Amino acid sequence: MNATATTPAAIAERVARKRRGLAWARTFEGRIGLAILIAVALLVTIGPLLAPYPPDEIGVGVPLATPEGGHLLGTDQLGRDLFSRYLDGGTTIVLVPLAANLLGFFVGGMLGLLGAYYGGRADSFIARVFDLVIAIPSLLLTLVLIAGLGTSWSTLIFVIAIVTAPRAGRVVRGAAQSVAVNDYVVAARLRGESVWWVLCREILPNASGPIAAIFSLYLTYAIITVSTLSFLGLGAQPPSSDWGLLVAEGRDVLTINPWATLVPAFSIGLLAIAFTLIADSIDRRTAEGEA
Amino acid sequence: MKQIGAKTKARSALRYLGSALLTLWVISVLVFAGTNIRPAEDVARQALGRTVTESQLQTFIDENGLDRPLPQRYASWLGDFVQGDWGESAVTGRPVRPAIVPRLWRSLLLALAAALVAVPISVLLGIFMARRRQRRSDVATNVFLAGISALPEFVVGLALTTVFAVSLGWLPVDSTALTFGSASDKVLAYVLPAATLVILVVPYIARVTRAAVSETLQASYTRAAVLRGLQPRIALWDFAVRNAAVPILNAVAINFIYMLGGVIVVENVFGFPGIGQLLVQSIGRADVITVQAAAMTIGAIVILINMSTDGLAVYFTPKLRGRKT
Repeated sequence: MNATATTPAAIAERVARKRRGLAWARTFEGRIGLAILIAVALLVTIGPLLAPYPPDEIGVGVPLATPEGGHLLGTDQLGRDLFSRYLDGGTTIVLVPLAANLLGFFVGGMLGLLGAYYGGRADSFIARVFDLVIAIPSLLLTLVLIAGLGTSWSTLIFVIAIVTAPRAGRVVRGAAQSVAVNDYVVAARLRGESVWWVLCREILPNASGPIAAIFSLYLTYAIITVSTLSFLGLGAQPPSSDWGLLVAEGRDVLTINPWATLVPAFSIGLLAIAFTLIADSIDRRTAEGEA
Repeated sequence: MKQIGAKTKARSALRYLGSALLTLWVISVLVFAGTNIRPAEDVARQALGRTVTESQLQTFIDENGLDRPLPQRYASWLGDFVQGDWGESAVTGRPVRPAIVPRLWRSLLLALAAALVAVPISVLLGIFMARRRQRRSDVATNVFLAGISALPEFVVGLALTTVFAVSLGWLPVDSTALTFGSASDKVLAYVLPAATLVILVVPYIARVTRAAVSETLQASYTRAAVLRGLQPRIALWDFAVRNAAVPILNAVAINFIYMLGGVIVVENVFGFPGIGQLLVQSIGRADVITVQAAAMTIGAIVILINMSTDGLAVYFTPKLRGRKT
């Protein structure tokens, strides 16, 4: 499977591989996941433009109005329009987990790849460290780090990346190990290709199925973590209109106006579900492709 | 099968103990580093509030030995902690241990109650799905469970609260009755938090059970049992399910450990006075001593359960005995 070959068979193979890359979108769960993802993405990008009121403006309505009062989701204690705040607040819950995951997968994946490629003592040391960190419950680790580093979006990204990196690294290492024994990898090494070339052109493309699935799954976990931290008061800080924070603020008036809490809460839930379903469908397609 | 000597057994037990202690040590380093990473003055200022004089700060730093080098502070902290001296909270001015212990019991009881409900439900659901593999009801249930498992704890908790406490009014909105309510109030206070945990762990165990049982259902020994004319019930339970016991047991263990983390969030959703609520509140109040003690306690319990389930799995699977892990 030399990626630079130009024989018809090699080209056909590459086209087939590309098609297989999107095959997950044709499964039942993949379609549902993709549909939800597109809907949420539209909401997050276009939403802020459609907000009927400025999201941070105080007193656009009577404080603590229920949805019947002309405001779709009612208003909060300060009389801010909750629907506008909801439309405005979805950006962070998409971007922060994505950034944290990219960072965590880059660092962990690098270590895992290099470990799998070179093997030996360094590899088993890396694997040991991964296992040691994974043994610590992720939420506990997150909370302890946040207790020390304080709260801001950049620390949050950093902390989640630390929690994700060893888990990502373990999966990448495992996937790379099973690819690295193939003849085409051995051949590339014997040809004298550079480490980078072998890792990026031979090993990574052929290990991409499990890695893509686990990336999508860890996006779900990161979304859960980020929104949970905001809900606990350790993530987004007022006056942000982040969905997790909206849920936390709405919790106090749940008995008066449940919609103000439920709508952002379910939006977070739907986003998390989308990535899990996509992870599931990639997983299934990869397994079928091997069978 | 080869008989395994007492020596090998003792060695593998020691190996488990060693890796558990190593993990616990790493947790203690992280907890200490995490809570002491900032300069001494910051720590003192956070503990005492904003309106303090320079001399008050200095006294606090002297009293708590915050001017010593970090490794020295770590050593004396760990020494005290291991001996049961968990220190006094600078925020409440009270010793930390009496505040943690009753909360810990409530949290463990909550997790245990949830596990007792969740395990039979999820195993039965998994077996049901395995028997109708690839049929429409199996695929639909599978996708539905995948969706549920992706929900954050607070979303499930708040949804349950809205339905059962706000709309129907059957159950209390929060669990604050645990600290002062009557006995029946106390029991009711467990229902919604436990139900939230149940909903969150059922998908995982059910899907693992489904995968494991559908594999053993197709195994030659199960098919042979059916062909021999054994009752389907016996073929299912004694051949398929029994041989799927280890992955199921593993899933249960993973989820029990997950629940000990999950209680942190669930307790905060319901105002449940457990150790997780204490941990989050203490982080918000910058109560370093309490954060350390609560985090160490949760960490130690997770490691303990991890170790004992590893041991259990070995006990139930003769194949694993004496194998290097």
